[in-house]
Amino acid sequence: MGQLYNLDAHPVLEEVPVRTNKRSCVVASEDKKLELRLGPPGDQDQSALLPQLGFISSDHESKRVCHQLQVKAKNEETKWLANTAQHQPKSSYFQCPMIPHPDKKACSDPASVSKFTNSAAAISSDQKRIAQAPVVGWPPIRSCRKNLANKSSLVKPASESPLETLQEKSKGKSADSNTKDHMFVKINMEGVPIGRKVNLKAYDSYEKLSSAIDQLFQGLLAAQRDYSAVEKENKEETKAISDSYTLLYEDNEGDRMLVGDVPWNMFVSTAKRLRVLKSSELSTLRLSSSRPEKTPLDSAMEIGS
Amino acid sequence: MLKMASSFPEEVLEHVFSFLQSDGDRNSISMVCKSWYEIERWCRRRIFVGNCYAVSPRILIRRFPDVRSITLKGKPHFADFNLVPEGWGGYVYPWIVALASAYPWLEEIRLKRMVVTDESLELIAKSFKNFKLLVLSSCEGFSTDGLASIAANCRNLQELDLHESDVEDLSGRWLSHFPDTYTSLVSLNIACLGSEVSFSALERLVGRCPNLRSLRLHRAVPLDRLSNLLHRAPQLVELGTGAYSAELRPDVLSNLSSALSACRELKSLSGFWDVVPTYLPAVYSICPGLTSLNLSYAIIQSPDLIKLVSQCPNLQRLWVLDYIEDVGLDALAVSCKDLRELRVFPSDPFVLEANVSLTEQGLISVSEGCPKLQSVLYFCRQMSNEALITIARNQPNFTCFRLCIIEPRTPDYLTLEPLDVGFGAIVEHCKDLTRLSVSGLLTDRAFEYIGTYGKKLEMLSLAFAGDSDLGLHHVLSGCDNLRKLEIRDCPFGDKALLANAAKLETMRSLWMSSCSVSYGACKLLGQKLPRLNVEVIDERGHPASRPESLPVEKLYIYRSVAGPRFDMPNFVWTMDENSALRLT
Repeated sequence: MGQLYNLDAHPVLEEVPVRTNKRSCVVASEDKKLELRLGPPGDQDQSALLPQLGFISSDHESKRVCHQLQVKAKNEETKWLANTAQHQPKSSYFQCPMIPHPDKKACSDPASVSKFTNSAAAISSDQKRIAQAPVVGWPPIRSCRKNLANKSSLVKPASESPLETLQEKSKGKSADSNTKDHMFVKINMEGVPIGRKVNLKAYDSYEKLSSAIDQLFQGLLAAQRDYSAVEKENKEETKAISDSYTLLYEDNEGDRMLVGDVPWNMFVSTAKRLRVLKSSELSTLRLSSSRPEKTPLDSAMEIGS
Repeated sequence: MLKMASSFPEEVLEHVFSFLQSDGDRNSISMVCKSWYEIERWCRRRIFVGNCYAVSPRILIRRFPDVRSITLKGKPHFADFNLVPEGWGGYVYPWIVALASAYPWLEEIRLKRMVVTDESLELIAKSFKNFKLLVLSSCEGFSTDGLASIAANCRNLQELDLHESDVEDLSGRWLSHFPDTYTSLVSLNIACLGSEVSFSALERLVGRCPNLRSLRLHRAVPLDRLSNLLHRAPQLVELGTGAYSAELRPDVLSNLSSALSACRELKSLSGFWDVVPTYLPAVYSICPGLTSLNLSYAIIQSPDLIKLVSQCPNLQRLWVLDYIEDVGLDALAVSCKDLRELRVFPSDPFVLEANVSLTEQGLISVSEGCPKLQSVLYFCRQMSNEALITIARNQPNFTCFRLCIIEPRTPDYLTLEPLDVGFGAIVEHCKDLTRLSVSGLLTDRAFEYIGTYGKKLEMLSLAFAGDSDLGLHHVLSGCDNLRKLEIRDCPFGDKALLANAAKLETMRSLWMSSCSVSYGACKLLGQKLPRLNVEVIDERGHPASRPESLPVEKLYIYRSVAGPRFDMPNFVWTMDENSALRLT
């Protein structure tokens, strides 16, 4: 470890103490890698190290600064490593609840990692056709390219008329949203660390949804304000909460949208999660102020009723 | 020396400088001596600002008093994939205000990934009498009302390009705001819009602008309207169709074919939404002249695609969906020997099982058959080291290589090993590689290769790759020309960043999201390197409310002479010497 940061021929920093957490074996071998293998593949010669590190600017001030950073980093490192056990590895893109997730960080052997991928693949091959809950921003394609799949199953040979294609499309759309009788989506409120889930199919209008959301979060909000008992707020306070918050949703293309613009049924079929933001924050998001400021919940009630 | 400098008239030097337009050359000139710096700054007309927060309008205007063309870029590239939360920044309005008062003769504004409001567009429309060119690439925040201002007021407008912007489309009426006396349109790209425009207004506009070279329509323009437009503009070089479908009538195909064949200058085709394959033969007559073909929204199967590309021997750029399949790419490799750029997009990106027969073989064929191929973007579901090595050997001229294997951490499907060696071959053989995106299962070894061989790399994108900080260290210490580095979901933390802190000042920017960089390290970087803006983006609340050693959600570091910005939303904080003292 010391060799990596040895820029100015300062005395080599003291040996790293052996760590006791479960990453210790990996970290120790990483240290060895850092010490010995900074050259091109196969190059074990440590004397080649210093020229390799020549990237660091020749400016003396920044060299000194960097060295200070490294000393400080070393001192904080032990603390950091002890805490990394708390940091959960990102959940696998491949959402398969049946397969236990081995801790990939403890396995530096790539073969075992790939075996995991393969066994997961084998067991859930029947699940592959289902669109997986997408990881944000992956695969890296822009929103305008995302929904081509809906039409791909409707590709017909050239002889078929466009009119029939249109009929197919509308059939396909209604089939999707009518098969299930519940649609639970996550809802988060800004400032509240715990989210809730709400069943969109349990409501038939924006108005009912917004009052349900008010009730959902009243409890959590009140608890956060350290009220001794969770009491039902009176109607004025409920309205005050509605007025000062704005409801947004994330649609099936991953875009964040204002609730209330589209017919209720269309909203239910495209909404994937909900978000409640303070309206004061919304005004910083919305930059064209040419229209009068009114809370979207108000407009949602106007449209939905 | 002094005598020489003063005896050489400024006008002569200015004239000499006018032959040098690239920023690099201009910057070099300005560093020769003080008098050259002065002369150069008075005659520099084109400005490129790669990061709108790297410099302030005031600093720019102070140095360059007479600018005619400016390019500004805002959000980081990963904003394209929804990784930058809304409200992060990139507002152009303060820039427009400053430019409006300093440069009344400004002619060109190009913006990329910036937030542009209708007020900004109105200000542009009213402030610059000789305004000629507006390009809004991947921008957002404006509506068709803003476009109406531009149309109504910019008498000398030549180019209006809304390239993939997110426009609030209130109606198509804005197009009718071009006055009847307006005839200078050269290029119009409205492909991203949704609302119908008045077809007669569009036809009149096209008909009265004799210099129109590029017309990219939006989906709301059906095929039967296209013929009328083409009859009025047979001089078009670049055409983007609207929806490639129409009510089934016998004359549509024949009208379209004759209208298209009259366009003898046509080199570039795009659009092709909602393709009805019956109408594809209409373009056959112009295929031999095509150099660029964008079929990336076209749902057509490989037999039709093969028929098309086989008739385009001069094709240099092809964007297509993976419906082309390996068999289509084989045909491409045979027919299009002049191909320079290929992009293959996924038709069904969220399903893990392949819906088409597109594998590594297609890319191998093209790399073998197209000797001029330089730029590739390829989405597929399987790859092998062997294939990558073959591709690298076939085509050492790659300058841009972006491979996206759809499932993260996918290993070599033949050997189940990581793809380190394959990507190693790419960077080793392709000595001119300036842009690289990697995917699949990769260990730190891959980054060792990249650091060792990627000496000309300027932009690198990493996702779900690497084992430890060593990987990041290889990249930061080895890639001498690195300007932009963007990373997501990699196990990189504090060590490599802190060890290579000075490197960050030589780059335009670094983006890291869902990695392991701690808040403590961010603070340290911000405090010690005042010429960097270290921005922590965390929607869970201020990182000071959690232990300092825990990782931040997202991190964006960029060099700047403008200091920290003040237009941040409440989930972005700039780390600087005061950050330790600042309250949440």
